[in-house]
Amino acid sequence: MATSRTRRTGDAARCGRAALGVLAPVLLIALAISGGARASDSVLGAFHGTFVGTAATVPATDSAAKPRLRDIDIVIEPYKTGFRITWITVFRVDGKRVDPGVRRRTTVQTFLPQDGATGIYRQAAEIDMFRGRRDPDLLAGDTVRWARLDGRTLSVYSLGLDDRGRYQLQTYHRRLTSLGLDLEFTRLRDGVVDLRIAGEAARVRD
Amino acid sequence: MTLGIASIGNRAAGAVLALAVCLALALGAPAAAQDDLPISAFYGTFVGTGVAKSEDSLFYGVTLRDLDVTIAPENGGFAVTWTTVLREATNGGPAQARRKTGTRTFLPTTKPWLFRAEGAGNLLEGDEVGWARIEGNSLLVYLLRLDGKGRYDMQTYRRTLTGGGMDLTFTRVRDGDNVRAVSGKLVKDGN
Repeated sequence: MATSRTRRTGDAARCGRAALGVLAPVLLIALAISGGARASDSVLGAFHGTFVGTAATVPATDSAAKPRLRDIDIVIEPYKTGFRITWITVFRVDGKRVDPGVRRRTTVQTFLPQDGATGIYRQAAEIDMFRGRRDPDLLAGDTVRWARLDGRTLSVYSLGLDDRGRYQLQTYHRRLTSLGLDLEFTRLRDGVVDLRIAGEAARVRD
Repeated sequence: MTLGIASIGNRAAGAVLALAVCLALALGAPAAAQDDLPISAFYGTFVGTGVAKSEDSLFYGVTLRDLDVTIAPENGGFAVTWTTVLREATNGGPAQARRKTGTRTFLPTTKPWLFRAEGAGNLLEGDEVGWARIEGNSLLVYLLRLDGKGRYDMQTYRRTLTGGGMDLTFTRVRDGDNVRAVSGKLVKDGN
């Protein structure tokens, strides 16, 4: 009897935590929308956390290629008045994670609010030892990055030119869900989408 | 014998020097791909027509437009000036004409095939960023801007020289959506 009560209490506690997990981002967004000027800051807080999941390439409709799997690990955390995003991608080989050909890549990017714009973030400027703060110059081979917050979606953009002046524009959309995040990535290479990746990640309790 | 050795030494030193000069030239000034035309090949005035397709084309059909473009030397680089006259039917009524013009100047970079838009500003501050490049017998112009929400708007003009003039393809991608594509043919009307 006592065991049953304990189990029910435990179940109720788990349900409560789960409900809170689902409701917290919604409540944050609702508060942010009613909050006015600082809305984007509060909504951004809903993205703070650690997420783990999987993603796969989306082959073109006329392609016989198989989806290629990858494991995703994302941490979004406050950075000054903006945010830092760290993501680790483990590229599986034929679906296998334990394989000599597996590759692992870590990417860290930091963004700060763009002055005079709501919901737009610029990449935190590089500091040049001799010239001070330097904004990226696309034509000089730099990558230009920015992010934007639109409701429940945080998007990160990365734009660069190759040696011939052809552009490559990568877009990462991360949308809050009750589970964690829905992920969508596209790579536009000189007007042609040559890579699409879709996946999802669950929020992890630290 | 001494003279012979000195002569061989001079020849070797000359060869090393020549190689060093060639390497310095190769590293210092990137050479254009062999089949890239010089920008001067694109100079002239071209007139023609084009057909535009958009997301609404399925319902409203394609629209016709008259196209004029002039490419001329400017500030060590070149300027492109274009005029578009659109004729669109509105609510089933007679077609109404709209005229749009634009001009951009592009300055040379260290790469002969790449040009930087004059006065290009900061993308994140709402400024347009533009560049141009030559690929074989095509001149491509890119114009990029962000809207107030950080969504990008990328316009690409590809102008390809043909026997009698120029083929144009224009695409506009707005935050991942292909919102417009124009294809047209122009003939050369003057230098």
